Amino acid sequence: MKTMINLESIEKHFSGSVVVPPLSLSIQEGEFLTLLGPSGCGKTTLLRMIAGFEQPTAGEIYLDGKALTSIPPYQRDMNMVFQQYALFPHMNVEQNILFGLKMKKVEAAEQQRRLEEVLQYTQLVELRKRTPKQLSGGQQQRVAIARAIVNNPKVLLLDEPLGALDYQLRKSLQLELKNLQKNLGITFIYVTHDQEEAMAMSDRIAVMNKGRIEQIATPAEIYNHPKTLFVATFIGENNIFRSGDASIAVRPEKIKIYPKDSELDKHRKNGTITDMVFLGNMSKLFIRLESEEMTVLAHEYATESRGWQAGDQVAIGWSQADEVMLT
Amino acid sequence: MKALRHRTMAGYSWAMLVFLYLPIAVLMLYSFNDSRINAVWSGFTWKWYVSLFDNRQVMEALWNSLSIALISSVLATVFGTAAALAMKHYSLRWRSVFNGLTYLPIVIPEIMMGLSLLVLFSQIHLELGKLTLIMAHVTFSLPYVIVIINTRLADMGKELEEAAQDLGATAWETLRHITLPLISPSIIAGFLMSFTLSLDDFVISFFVAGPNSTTLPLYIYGLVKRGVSPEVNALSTLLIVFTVLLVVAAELFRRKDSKSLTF
Repeated sequence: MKTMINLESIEKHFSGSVVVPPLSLSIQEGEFLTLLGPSGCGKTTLLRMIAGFEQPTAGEIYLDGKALTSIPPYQRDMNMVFQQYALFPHMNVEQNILFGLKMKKVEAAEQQRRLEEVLQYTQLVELRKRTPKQLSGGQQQRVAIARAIVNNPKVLLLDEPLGALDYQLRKSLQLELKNLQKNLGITFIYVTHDQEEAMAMSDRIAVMNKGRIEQIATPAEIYNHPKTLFVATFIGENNIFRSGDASIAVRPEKIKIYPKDSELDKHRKNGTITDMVFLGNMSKLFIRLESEEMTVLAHEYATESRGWQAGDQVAIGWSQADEVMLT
Repeated sequence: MKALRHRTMAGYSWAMLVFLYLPIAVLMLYSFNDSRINAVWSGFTWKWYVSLFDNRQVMEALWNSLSIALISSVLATVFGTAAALAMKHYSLRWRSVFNGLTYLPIVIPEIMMGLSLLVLFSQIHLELGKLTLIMAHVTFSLPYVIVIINTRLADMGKELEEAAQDLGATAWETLRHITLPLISPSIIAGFLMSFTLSLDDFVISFFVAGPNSTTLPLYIYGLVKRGVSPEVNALSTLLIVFTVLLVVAAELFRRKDSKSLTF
């Protein structure tokens, strides 16, 4: 494994305010890395700096060992899939896909060969003469990806590429994208605010907040061992118990519910079920604690249902192994 | 009750249109009147149109008008497009300053524009004639071209240009293959608009025209001083019809343009 992209103390200021404080990050060849965070967290700015549309205020970006700062976007060996696809409306599918090869003065026969290959690969053969206007959202998205990968980039940058599509289509395209990345072996840098999407596709996720990377790890590590309060609450649902300066997080599915005054457990707390939300395979139970101002969320799977109802007095507990210390 | 109100509203709209177009309709109608006296209708004729085309002075004024309109609108379109493309690169604050300064000439009274241009030309000892007319027409057409193209560029956003650069296009290639083709309908609309403005202008031209550069509106004004003849009606009718056609064409191009961006 070699490092494909290396960010060294990258900083970005916009008219005096710091959008990205010094940040370092390295991305391996063939890796699917997701920059995940709420809007305004700096993830898109970071992606645009890698693409070359924004200049870092300080620091250096390396692509495959080569410093990029002085290289304009059109000479960087990477391609971007834009949020609204940015397909050229006055060109048909073929012309859109060929644009990059024409600009790089690739030989005509080679252009045709790569065009056919990528059309096959993205299942756009029948749509090749259509203009973007005549395509559905999902088809436009495929053209955007075809237009990028036909150039054989070292890195593909994706800026919320599924954001404009409906839920069902997004789900199926997540899988398609992941497979595409595996088969092509291209390094993917993927920006999204959708944690489910990040979990489903990434090798590693960098969770960003206020321009900083709060944690960078595999999806399982991020979910099971969040390092900070932000990560613990941004990814999935969590219960945060505070005592003094320390905070611990316990996932709702790790919370066990007992009848009051039975099955004593040292982590137990007493409370009352205030609400129940039925979700099919499981229910969400909201439990108001007696001892502190807090409502705990617990998941109870349908197969293990014990028939709790709103208003029941219960005790909750969890095993120590499921506690995560936050900093 | 509802039907009545509907009819009243429709009646009002028609009354508005009659109010707007009656003077023009009367003018057009009398251009086909056989009688020399405007007030009396004595039959249909084309003869005033025929006599127009035999009139050397009219033909000269027509030639002046068309050549000045063509040259000034080409120049205004080229300069205006370049200015709009350049303004895009300024920061937001400077861009709004430039925008404001660009729009200002549109609202400045024409008579002030004419006067100030006359003062300028006499200060730099430029002889009044076709050249000064062309310069003046470029001046008042430019803001319109810039406004039309600016709007278009703003609608287009920067993503398409970024996508082109991302795919390996230099700034020049991006302009050639992406930006210019996408704004071309607006460029044509701007050109037609300038052409129309130049063809129709009287006030500013009145100040900066020389003895050998009489345009059609100036010629018509000259004729009117000797009384409104059917020839004047015929000439005005032609000018109106031509202007309307140009404006419709400009609007069609502008609409085609704004449609082409939405998927």
